[in-house]
Amino acid sequence: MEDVLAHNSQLVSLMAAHLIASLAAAEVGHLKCAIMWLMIQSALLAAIFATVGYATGTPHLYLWAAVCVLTKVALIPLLLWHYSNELPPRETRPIVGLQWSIIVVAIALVGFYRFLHGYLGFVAPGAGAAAEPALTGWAIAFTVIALGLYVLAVRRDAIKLVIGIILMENGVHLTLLSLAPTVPETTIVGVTTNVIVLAWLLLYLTAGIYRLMGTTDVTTLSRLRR
Amino acid sequence: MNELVTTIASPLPVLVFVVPIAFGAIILLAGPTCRWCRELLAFVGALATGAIAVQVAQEAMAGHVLTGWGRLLYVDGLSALMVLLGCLMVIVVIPYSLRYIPQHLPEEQRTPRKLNLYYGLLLMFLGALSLTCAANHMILLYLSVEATTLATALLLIFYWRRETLEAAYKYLILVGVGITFALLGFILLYVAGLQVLPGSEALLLTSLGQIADKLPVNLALLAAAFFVVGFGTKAGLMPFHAWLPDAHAEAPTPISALLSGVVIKVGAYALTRTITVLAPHYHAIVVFVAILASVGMLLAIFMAWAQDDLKRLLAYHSVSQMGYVVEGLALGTYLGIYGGLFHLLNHTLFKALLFMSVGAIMYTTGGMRAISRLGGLGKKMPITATCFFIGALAMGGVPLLNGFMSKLTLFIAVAEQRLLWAAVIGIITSLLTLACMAHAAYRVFWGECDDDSLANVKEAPAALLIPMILLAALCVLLGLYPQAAYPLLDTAARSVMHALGGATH
Repeated sequence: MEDVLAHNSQLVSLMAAHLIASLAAAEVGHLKCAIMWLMIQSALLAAIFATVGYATGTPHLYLWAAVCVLTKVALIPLLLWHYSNELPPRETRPIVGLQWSIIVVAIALVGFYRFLHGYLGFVAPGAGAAAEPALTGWAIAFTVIALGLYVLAVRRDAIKLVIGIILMENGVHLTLLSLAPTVPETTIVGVTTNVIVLAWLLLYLTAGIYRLMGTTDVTTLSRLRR
Repeated sequence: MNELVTTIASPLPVLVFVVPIAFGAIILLAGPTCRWCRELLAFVGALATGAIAVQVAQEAMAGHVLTGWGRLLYVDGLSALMVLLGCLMVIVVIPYSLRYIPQHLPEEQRTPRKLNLYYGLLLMFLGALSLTCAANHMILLYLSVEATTLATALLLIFYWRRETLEAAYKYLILVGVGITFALLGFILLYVAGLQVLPGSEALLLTSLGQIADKLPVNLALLAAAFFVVGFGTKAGLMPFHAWLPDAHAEAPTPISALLSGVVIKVGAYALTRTITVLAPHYHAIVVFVAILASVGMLLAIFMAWAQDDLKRLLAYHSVSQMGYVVEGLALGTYLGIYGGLFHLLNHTLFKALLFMSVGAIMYTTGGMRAISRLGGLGKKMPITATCFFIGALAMGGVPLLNGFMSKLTLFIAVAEQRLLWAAVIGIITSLLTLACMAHAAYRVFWGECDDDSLANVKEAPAALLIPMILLAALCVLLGLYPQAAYPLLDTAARSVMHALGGATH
């Protein structure tokens, strides 16, 4: 634990950068730029895995980091890039703008941070998860999950919705690291493979919808509601 | 009720999902084959899986629980019931698809490769379903539930039309978000379990069940809330049901039968498996789930009344009927669980029958399914009309049909727990269901119709009728002789009770 605390400031900095990159991936209107930000966000997640692995001397976290690089930094952005070539370069105008996103992220971050630091007894996790930097990691992870949900609720572009789902999944992985870094690496391999298949299928459908309807605006997917 | 069960290491839990996946892979990888080869192979694959499932059910009825891959796989009576239902559905869907699927496929898409994809995915889905039912490892359960979603999404977009793409997109986004919440629930449960168990043990549902009373209460309840949202979305529980009407209505009809028959039950199964682990906190969860199920079953009926599209009408009825299933399972008593599982079995039978009857109408009328445009089909399609009526009356809870028996069991179970408000909601919902279905059936089969295109409509071909007659016969059989399902349902209900008992002792 002392080793982790020695790297506390680096880890908290990486987590803060991860959150900023998440916000950028959600907000940048140019789709390829948003994909680049998602790639950076995932790279920072891999760096967090590796740093915790180095600080605690747990080599299997390097494998987590390697899986993260292969799947989230390389494969998923590659898929997004490939399919976005067929689509308009800019996202469909969202329902609300940047200022609301910043407010939502700020409220979520402060709320989760204060709750976890003030009322930890309410959830009572194990000793490792109840200490720093796991607590901050937990708060940031839940904020990223909330941001992913927010993206799903207010964005109209189908590609942005896929990015929202991936943000949620990345938040869940950060939760996993913060609360249970001992989980076997096969778990991580399974979970990330699953995300790739889901992302591919959603992108495949998005491209199909664009070819048939000429739009990626999900609010136009309303024929069935009649 | 906490009876002794013998745990036996066996290859059956592995075979039950490997066999359909192997058959599915062969079909997917095969090139152009002889006429009916792929269909025959798919049918043989489903039958072989069914034979393994029967073996598993016999073991479960003999008081044995089978494990595989260490304890990663765990097959009891509940698993056996679910796998048998999955096999039965795939076995009836394959002959139904022989004529139905090519007819609705544009000429240029009627290629061997495309048909291989259909039958291969059917078997892959069966494999994923069997793995879900065999999984004792939390992450394996998460992955297999997601695999059922992915396989059915690919089947849903089989016709590649605007409506199917739209429905599949909503299905994947909403169920994808739901399953992510379930994953979060698993992580919290794992963290809670880690305080008592060593690492790998804390991922096994059976191990967690043994120490459930030592889990931190709030962390366990938070995990349960995530399971309800996650698997409730998959089960189509209101208010997480938004994907269901679109997906069920726009899928090719055999897939609609599969979605309503077994796919939403996967969510109910996963919810049962995970929530029962938290038995000491069960009552706090039950009240929440029971209210959700009761309110959902009633609201969904009002939505069903507003539908003109026969398939959407049936889809909303699925949301409503899942309320009965979940309410029974949530009661936590033997009778409640028995009733919930009995209704799960019955809903699979009559809802698949109803969707297939609508499919037969669509087949003969060139795809018409709007109630307002149909009429007078009773004399032209007597067998389809009879099948539809049997399904409709069974769902409405009319005596001498299977739906009556399971609803009666549920009402008694609810009344025993003094939840009279839930019993009243259940009875009102059942009466409204009957009225709604009778109204739709009357309009379609005996109503006036001015559409000349319906003048030459004939009865559907035998390939469509045989599976429908089989399902209708099962609905009548279980209505007249409900004891036929007793050994299997009793074993499944005792498995759930054992999980609850194991957790509290």
